[in-house]
This record gives sequence, structure tokens and C-alpha cells, in this order.
Amino acid sequence: MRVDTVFRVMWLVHQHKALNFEIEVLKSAGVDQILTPKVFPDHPDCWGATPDYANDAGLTIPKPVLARLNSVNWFEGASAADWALAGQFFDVCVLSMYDGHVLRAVANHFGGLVVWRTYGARGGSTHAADVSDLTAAQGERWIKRLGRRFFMAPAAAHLCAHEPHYLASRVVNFPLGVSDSPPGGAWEGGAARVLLACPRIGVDPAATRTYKEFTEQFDGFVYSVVGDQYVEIDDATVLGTLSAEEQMRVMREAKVLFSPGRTPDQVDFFLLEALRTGVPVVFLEGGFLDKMGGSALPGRCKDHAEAKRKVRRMLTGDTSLIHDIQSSQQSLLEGLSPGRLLPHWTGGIAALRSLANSIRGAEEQRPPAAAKKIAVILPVAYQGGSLRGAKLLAEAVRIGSLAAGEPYQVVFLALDSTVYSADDFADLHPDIKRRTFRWHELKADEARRAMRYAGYETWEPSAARYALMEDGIKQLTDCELWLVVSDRLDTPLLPLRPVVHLVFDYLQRYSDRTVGGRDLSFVEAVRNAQKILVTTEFTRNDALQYAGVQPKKVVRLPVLAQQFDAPASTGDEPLRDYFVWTKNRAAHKNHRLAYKALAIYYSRLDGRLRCMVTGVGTEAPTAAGEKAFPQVIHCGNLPDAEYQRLLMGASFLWHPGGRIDNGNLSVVEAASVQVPSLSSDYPAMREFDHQFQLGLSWMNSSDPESMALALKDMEVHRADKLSAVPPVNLMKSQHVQALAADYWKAIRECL
Amino acid sequence: MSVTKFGIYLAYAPTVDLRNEGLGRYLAAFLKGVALQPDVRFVLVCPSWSSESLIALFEEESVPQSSFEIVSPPNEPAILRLYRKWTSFRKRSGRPTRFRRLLAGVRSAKDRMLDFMLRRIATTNSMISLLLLFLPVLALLLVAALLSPLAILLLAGLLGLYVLRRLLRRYGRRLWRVRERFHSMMGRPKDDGVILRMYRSMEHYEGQRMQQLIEEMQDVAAWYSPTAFWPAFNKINKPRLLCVPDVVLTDFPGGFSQIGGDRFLQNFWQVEASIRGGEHYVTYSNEVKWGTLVDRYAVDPARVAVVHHAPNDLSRWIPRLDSEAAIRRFCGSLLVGAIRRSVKGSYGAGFENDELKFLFYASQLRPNKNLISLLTAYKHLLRNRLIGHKLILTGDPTAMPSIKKFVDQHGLQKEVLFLHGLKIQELAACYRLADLAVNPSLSEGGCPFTFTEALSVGTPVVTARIGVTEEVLTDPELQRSTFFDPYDWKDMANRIEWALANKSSLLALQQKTYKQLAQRNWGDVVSEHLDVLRRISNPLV
Repeated sequence: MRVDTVFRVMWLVHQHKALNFEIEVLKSAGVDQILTPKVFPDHPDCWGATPDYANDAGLTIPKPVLARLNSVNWFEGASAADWALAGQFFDVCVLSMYDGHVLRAVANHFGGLVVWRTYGARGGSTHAADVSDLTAAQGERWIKRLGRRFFMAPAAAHLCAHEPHYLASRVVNFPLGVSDSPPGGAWEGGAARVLLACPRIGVDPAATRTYKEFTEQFDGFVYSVVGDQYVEIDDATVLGTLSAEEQMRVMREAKVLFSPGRTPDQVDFFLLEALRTGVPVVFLEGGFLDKMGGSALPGRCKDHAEAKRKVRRMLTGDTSLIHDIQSSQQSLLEGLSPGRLLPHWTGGIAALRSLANSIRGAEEQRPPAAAKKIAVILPVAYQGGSLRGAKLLAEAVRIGSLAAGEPYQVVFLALDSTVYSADDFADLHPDIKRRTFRWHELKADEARRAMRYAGYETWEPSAARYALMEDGIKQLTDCELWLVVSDRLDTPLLPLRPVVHLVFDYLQRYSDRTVGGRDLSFVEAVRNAQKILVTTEFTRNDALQYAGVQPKKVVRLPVLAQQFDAPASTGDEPLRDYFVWTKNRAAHKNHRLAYKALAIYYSRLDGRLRCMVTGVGTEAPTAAGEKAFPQVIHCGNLPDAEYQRLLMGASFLWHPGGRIDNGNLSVVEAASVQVPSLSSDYPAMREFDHQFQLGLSWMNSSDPESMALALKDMEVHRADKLSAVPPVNLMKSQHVQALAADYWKAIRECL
Repeated sequence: MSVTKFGIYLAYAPTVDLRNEGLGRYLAAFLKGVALQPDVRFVLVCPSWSSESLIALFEEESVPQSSFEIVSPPNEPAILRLYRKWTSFRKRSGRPTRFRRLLAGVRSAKDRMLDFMLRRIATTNSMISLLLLFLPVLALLLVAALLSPLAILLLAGLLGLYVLRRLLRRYGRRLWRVRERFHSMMGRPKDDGVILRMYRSMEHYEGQRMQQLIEEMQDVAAWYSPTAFWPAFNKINKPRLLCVPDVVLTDFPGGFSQIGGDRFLQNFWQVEASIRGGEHYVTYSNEVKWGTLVDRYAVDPARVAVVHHAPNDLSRWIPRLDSEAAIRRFCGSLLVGAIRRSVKGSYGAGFENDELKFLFYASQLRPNKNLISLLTAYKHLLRNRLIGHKLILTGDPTAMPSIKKFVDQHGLQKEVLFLHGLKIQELAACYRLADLAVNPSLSEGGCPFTFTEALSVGTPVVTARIGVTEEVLTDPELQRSTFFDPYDWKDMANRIEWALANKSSLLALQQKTYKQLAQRNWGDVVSEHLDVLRRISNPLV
């Protein structure tokens, strides 16, 4: 909500060759309160950019607010609060897009109009393709969410000629021109050489191609190449990065400038500078100048041969050709002057100003919106730790959104499977709604139709089939975000909503066993996601190194663990004549060596403590080695309350898992009831130990002998081990209630 | 008194019979309301192929002719006339011809003879009797020998038949596909890609002819399109008011992607084109105004008027008798008749109970109707809560295979009855006899008619808490008793069970609201539309 009625514009565009003209006409059009960016993204377009504070003096906003707005990287890193603050003082935000997620941020958090300023789509494609590439296909939805508040402002009308309706219908006319006065004086033409403007050779493939073609074609000519360079080019004719003044001097002195015009749908700033300076330009047809109305200029050539003929004539002193070209350029230049283009800008600004006012009034009549929802989805019929992790995640989202004052309803989805009973979900908070679903596959043409109906005008299927979560209601489209626990998707999800994956591990990376060729689809699932949440640094590294996803998509969060209430002190100390081993059937749990260790513990080390084995599938021993000792008791999968009782009476908890897995949070549960743990030493457990300050005892899980010795050590030195267990209040600081804010912060960035 | 003339633009596809369309009935109600306004007259411009069915519709609905005139281009396209002749021929060819009767008689005699022979063979004990049985065969062979030239012909015929069979075996599948395609084109022309393209061409051409007529009508102050399917409406160079009932496909992309194929997608694009080219809009609810037009299509809210529906009163279809028992018997007979007609097999054919207890939901089967949730809730009530009621739906189960699959998978074929194609009096009777009307729909353009239709015949209702129901049914106490969370089938089941147990008190509460809603009639709806039309046709006033 605006705090005053002064019309202000954020001009978050970094194109220093255009900025002077744009600010000049903006002011002439009646906008005198303009904020320009001071922090720039690490993007090639912004390399070498320096902040310009010249316009800050005209802003009538409180100094601390201005200071804060100036400290923000609006292109990439502005927070919801930053955008909300900006919305209090600015009606319009004109921005360049380097990171597509800026669209999501402005759609959600900025209340004013949003104008995407563009000087051409990347790589000669369309802006719609850029939106899709930069946002994992979600940008179209965000733009549509902006509705009447969104506009495109191409620097020239033809730059948006091939866009789909959702962009083409929202164009506001802010044409780019050139300032009247030539910088540093008029053209001299004393140096008999042809100039090519070609920045970023060796960085930008298109620039490299242009340079190479030019040097081949103009071999034998005297030439220079101007433009900022960022890698060393072994060619003395490439002048490298020059100051603006030096660059203009070179341009003034050159007899002729050649423009190959390979990118008609991108603004050629050097060409505009050349026109302004008066340098005669020889150019190939079909380029930017053609689009700007220069198709009748005498400098226009059909091919390189014609261009070389004209250049040669000019270099050898054909003054009449030079004069013809210059005078015709002058008439083109007049059409690009601020005076000629000002009516477009004035009209555009007036339209924005009027719309900003009307939107403010209209929004007050808007009926209240229905509660928004987020889905937490278990894609496989997981039980045990993954189910518990999913429920904790749902709880974190519920608490986090509520605490942030942005209450979302959480919908918990598990497969419609007989493995679950109502008891499995009895501990979900009553405000978390539960649904079941089944996987349903859509053929490519059905998928395309679904996406068209959902408002994606340009999305095309890249797979033969897409997965849909059939909940019998709305296929989860009533939820704003799909939060999928694990990456186990065999078929790509139809991206009707943004998807976030919570990935616990990449065990397949460390195992010879394959996952039946399905691994690639798991990798693709996370690549298609908006974000990947991980709970250990180890998994984060795997997400980057193995799945190959962008680092900024991976967010590491503290692990959520179930904690039991600490036992009330009754004075009766239990016997503690056993220890607890939580396991399941998974091979990576290191069962074989663990039973060997038990054999040594009972037979050679005279182990006194019984071993209570619990977990899914532990109802009975499954191999001969597991039956050997009567001290090993198989309890099966226990309900939480029974498990808690068992744990509270234990001497310690034993986690002999293999060297690689996603960690075992039983050690946290044990610590919450003041029971120490003996654990295999591997990265995930080290990270848990660090996060919860568990004071774990360690053993080498690949050596049964040392495992057995560690067991004996726990038996003998229990008192010492107990003293390392963190106190209850420290454990509470890692409770889901305390960590929910971190989760919400990461998740809301994807809404 | 000066009379203002407004236009209504209709561009239904060929072969659509307006008498079977909801919009047709809406149009009739609208024009009846117009008849009450002496200073207004409407001209309806429609394609050549629609005028006949429009006239029939208005006659059936007793719309006074004083309120409107119908204008359409002359002469239907020739291919359409040909199609109509074909369909009427097909209908006629369904009746047995003299040749077919003769053929049937020969077949029947042959069967009787064969039965006789077999019976005799099976039952005879004497060898002589058995041989005697073959005498007729021998006699036939003798005659055949005498007529040997004919036998040669017969053999040639048999050979020909053999060759024909071989050819059929080779190319039969292809021929069968051609035949199927032909039948599909003739039976459901709008589902065929080629026919659909032809329809579009016809519509395009007809749109041009209609446009010419419209351009000649300079006395029409503003034009109204009652639906958003016709982007050609935007070519009219006069103030235009486009009605957008809803764009429900946008909210249920997964569900709708699996039905209707590309025909639905093309219709969807037509709707989008209409909206994008629109000038002024009217919707039935704020929900569609804001959620669809403003938020999805970036329409200026100042250009969107909201005109709510008037209640649908079905009471006139129920006989006014003093005896409740007599009313129920009459309605019961209609119900049983509908069950016998619609429920296939002997279960439906032999159905007798005219005092059936049931829940009722009258609606097409569409992905936005939330029927799986209703079926899940119903299954729970039947199997776990033992309520004993049936669930009667009025949609066509073939329209959404997932519904049929659910019913079959859970063995509900005799519990969930689909009474598709109910006549209006049968619909009223079903509402009257139902213990409870249930509407689980997740999305509607305006407040669903279930509420007023059920209460107009004294049946209570439970309905989904969605934007449009909250917009119209605003009494908090009524909302608490009537609404359920449509995303939670358990909540739906609980609400239904509660409503069945508290039917009287719920009805009493809902009747109060119904009386208030019933104050509004279709005349009011028309008046509000006319206000908008007057405003856009004379923006300075």
C-alpha cells in the first residue's frame, strides 16, 4: 500500500549506453522521482557497472528507506520485505531480467506496476522462451498473476514482434533513441581504417563468430575492433576495454564503421552511438538498422562483397559516398531524437500513471481470497523415517507460514495404499488436511492441452508421458506449491504448479546396485524443480556433483527430527540392561557386519547387555547369523509410544549403519529422552551430531571387531557417555517449532 | 414512448438443438423478462441453421413474440441440408421395410425347420424313421440336379463369395475403420476432426453473412452475446456486452485435458479470443469477475458487471394436490419410469419401489463437479454408516470414464443410479422425492441452481463451500448448516449424515433464505442486463 500519492518510478535497468537517454526522456515526460540500481548482478551485461547516485537527490523518500533500497540487489536478491517497502513508495518498477525469479518476487510482493524493459531476447530467441528458460517454465504463470500490472517495454517495437499473446498484448511503447548532442564532438574520420564494434569476443559465441567472419572477409583492410573485452585476444587490432571517452575518440577518428547486423532483434548500441557521432556506417541488409527504418540508406549492402567495395571506396577518399551516407543517416537519427520520441514516452507514462491509480481503487473492491494451500507429497508408499520426515515437513510448513503471518493450509498426500492405516497419520496436526492420491499418466497431447488450459501458451511436452497426481478432486491444482518428499519420480510431473523436492540422499551414487535405470528420471525430477531442499551438506554436494543442478537451486536446511518428551524423574532408575538397535531391511544398513560385531561382543567380550532390535521388518531374524544369540531380541516395528518406552529404558542406542546413508535420526530421539548413542562414523551422522550437539560415540562400521569393542565400551562407561547427551533445553532449540521459520523462508521463495 | 432496440448475437454450431441446451432455456427466460419491459425490443441474429430451433424453443417456452424478432441469413449450406436428409433417412431406415420383414420370415422358418429336424433326430428310436428324416434333403438334391445350370451359377456365386471373404479378410480392418469413421461422423459430427473443421468453415462463412445483417441494423443501440464461445461477436462495431459464464477449464486443466480432446481445446481458444477482444463484460458472480476476467485475462474490473441469477422454481411442475401421498405417488411414478428407462439391464427394468430413499445431485458429469469425492463420501455413508440411501445422479456416465470406473470398482452399480436425460418434470419429481440434494461442485460460474431448485419443491440441500455459494448464501448460520469443505470427503459425508438426521430443522432454516432469494426473478435479471446495455450504449449518461 502506497504511503503517499507522489508518482515514482524504479528504473532497475542496467544498460549504461541507454541510461542517459532514458532518464532524460523520463524526466521530460514528467517523472522526476526515479530510483536507479546501485547493486548489480554478476552477469556479463553488468560487468564493470558502477552505481550512479545522481537521481537520488530528487527522491522525496526518507533517507533510511533510500539507504536500504540502495543496498538491495533488485535483480537477484531482493527479499519480500524489500519489495513490499518499495511498493510503499513507488508506483512503477521498470526492470531488466537476469534472473527469472524476480518475476515471482514482484508478482507476490510488489504492489505497483511492473514493466519489463528489454533490448532484445537472449540469443535471438523470443522473450517467452527467455521467461521459460529463466524460471523452469513457471514465469508465464507469474506474469499472468501480475495481470494488468504487467507490461513489456521493448526498446524498439519489432523486438516483441513474435511473442505469444500474454506478452504481445501487454506492450507499452518506450522507444529507445539517442541524445541530441554527440559526446566529445563530431566525426573527424582522420584514420583510414574500418571499425568493427564487437564486444565480448571469446565470451559471447555470437560475438566470436562475428569477429571471425569480419577478419576473414576484411583481410587486407586496415581495421580496428572496439568494444569491452573480458578475455585476452591475440590480435593487435582488437583494442580491448577502453574508457568511454577513448572509445568515442576511436569512433570519431574511424573513416567508416561496418555493421554485420547479425542480430536484428537485439539493440545495437554501438550502431546508435555511431549514428549519433556521425560515423558513416556500412551495414548488411536484414540487420538492426533495417528494422529501425534504415532499409533505404546508401550504406546498406546485400553481401560482404558489396560492403567491401563501399568500404574500400570510402577508405580511398570517396567523399561523395561518405557524404551521401552521412546525410541519410542524419534523417534516420532525427527520428530517434528525444524530441521525436517524447510523445511515446509521455503517452506511456500517462497510461501507467492512470492505471496505477485505477488499480489502487479497484483492488479495494476485490472480495477476500480463499485460503491458499501447499501440498506435501509422499510419492512412494514410504513408511518409517521418510514418512516421519514428510510429516515433520508438513508441520514445519504449517508452523512457519503461520508464524510469518502468511497462513497456508497444508495438505498432506500419501499414496492410496494398503500399507497405511489411519494410525499412521493420527499424529498429524488437525489443521493439516490429509488426502490420498494415485499416479495417473497423461499422454503428450493431453499434457499439452492441460498446460494450455492452465494458461501456459507456449509450453510443449518434451516427454512422451507426464505424471499427474489424481486425488479425485482437482489433481492438486488447488495447491500453490507441490512439495515432494524425495526425488523418486519415474515419470516427469506435469508442471501445473511449481515443484520443490526434499531430497535426503543420493545413495545410488555410492552403491554398485542400480535402480533399474530409473536414476535418470530421478535426476530429471530435481532438475525440473524450482528448488531442492537438503538437510545435510553431504547431500547438498551430491545434488550438485551428481544430479548436476544449479547451486542456487539447492537449499540446505537443518534436519527436522522427532523428539520425545523427556521422562519425568520418578526416582526409580530403570535397569538399563539392554541397548536398542533401530534398523530395517535396507541393505545399506550394514546388517551383516553388525551381526558379526554382536557375535564378538557376546562370545569374546562377554557382553552383558541384551540387544533389542526394532524397526520395519524386524519381527523375526531373517538369516542364520541373526538367530545365533538369545540376547538379541527382535521386537518388530513398534508404535511410537511403545518405542519411546523401550528407548527410555535403554542403556544406549546403537546405530551400526553403513558408511553412507542419509543418517539415522533415532539418535536424536534417544537424546531427547536422555539416552546416549553409539553411531557409525559417516558424514550425515557427523552433521546431525553437530546440529543437535548430540555428543555421539563413534565406531568404525566397516570393522566388526572395533564395533564390538565400542559396544563394550558403552556398556562399561555408560555414565561418561550420558554426560555428553545435550540437556533438554538445548534439544528444544532444534525442535520443529524452532526450525520451521527456516523452512518457510526457503519455501515461500517458490510460491 | 420510444423503444430502444438491443441485439442478441447467437452463433451455435450446426446441428445444435437449442431446446436441449441450458443456454436455450436461459435465453427463453431472458426474453420472457424482456416482454415485461415495454420500452425495449430485442433482435436476435443467428445462423441460418439455428432459426428453426429457436422458433421451436420459444414456442415451447411460451415466450411472447412481441419482445423479439429473429433475423438470420437465408438458406442453410447445402452440405448441412444433405446431412439433415441423411439423418432423417437413417431414422426412417430404422423401421422394418417389406423386404426386411420377408427376410425375417424366411430366417424364422429356417430356424423352426432346423429345430424340428434336430428334435426328431435326437428323439427317434427307429432307423427307418431316421432315414425318412433325410428324404426332404434327398428331394432337394434331386431338384438341384435337375437345375444343374443353376447349380453352376450357384457354384460361381459361392466362389465369388469366397474371393470376397478373402478380400475382406485382407482389407477388412481398413474398411471397418472407414465404416466406423463414417458412423462416428454421422452420429457425433462435432467429435470428428474433419467435420469440426468443416463446421468452423461454415461458422466463419455464416459469421460473415450475419455480420452483414448486423451492419445494416443501425438502430440497434448495443449488442449482447449470452456466451463467450463466439469471437466473431467482437467484430460488431457497436457497443458490445459479452457474457462470460465461466472458463472452468482453466481451473481443472488435468481433468479436462482427458475429455473432449482437441475439440475442447479449440472451444477454449475461441473463448479466450472472445474475452481478449471483448469490450464490456457481464458475469454471474464476483468470483468469475475477479478470479477469471481480472486475474487471468487482465480485464479492467470497471468493465465487468455482475448480474446474479434468479432462483429456478420447479414447483410448477409438481401437481398442486391436497394429499401429500398423492403427490408422492405421482412423483414416484415419474421416478420409477426414469429408472426403468435409464438404468440398463434387468435391475432397472424391473425396478418397482416408488418410495425410494435417495440423495440427489442434478448435474452433468464434468471434472469440476467433484464427483469422486461425492462417491467416496457416499460409499462411506452406505458401507460404514449404513444409511441405506441410493445416490441418484443425472449425468451421462460415459462422459467421464473415471466415474464409471469408480462405481464399477466399488460395486456400486445398483446404488449409484445415473438418470441421464431427465425431462423437466422428472427432474422436479426427483428433487421433490429426494431426502437431500447434495452439490459437491468445486467451481461454478454462478451460485448453483441446486439450492433454489431443491428448496422450491421442499427438499433441503447441502452444498460445497466455494466462492459463488458464499457470495449468495451469506447467512452465517445457514452457511454452518449447509456448507461442507468440498476438498474433504469426510466433511462432506459428515454434513450429509447430519443433514439427513436434521432434515426438518435444516429445511426450516433454508426456507427462510429461499424466500429472500425468491424475491428476485428473471425480470430483475433482465433489468440489470438492460441497465448495463443502456450504460454502454450511452456512456455519457
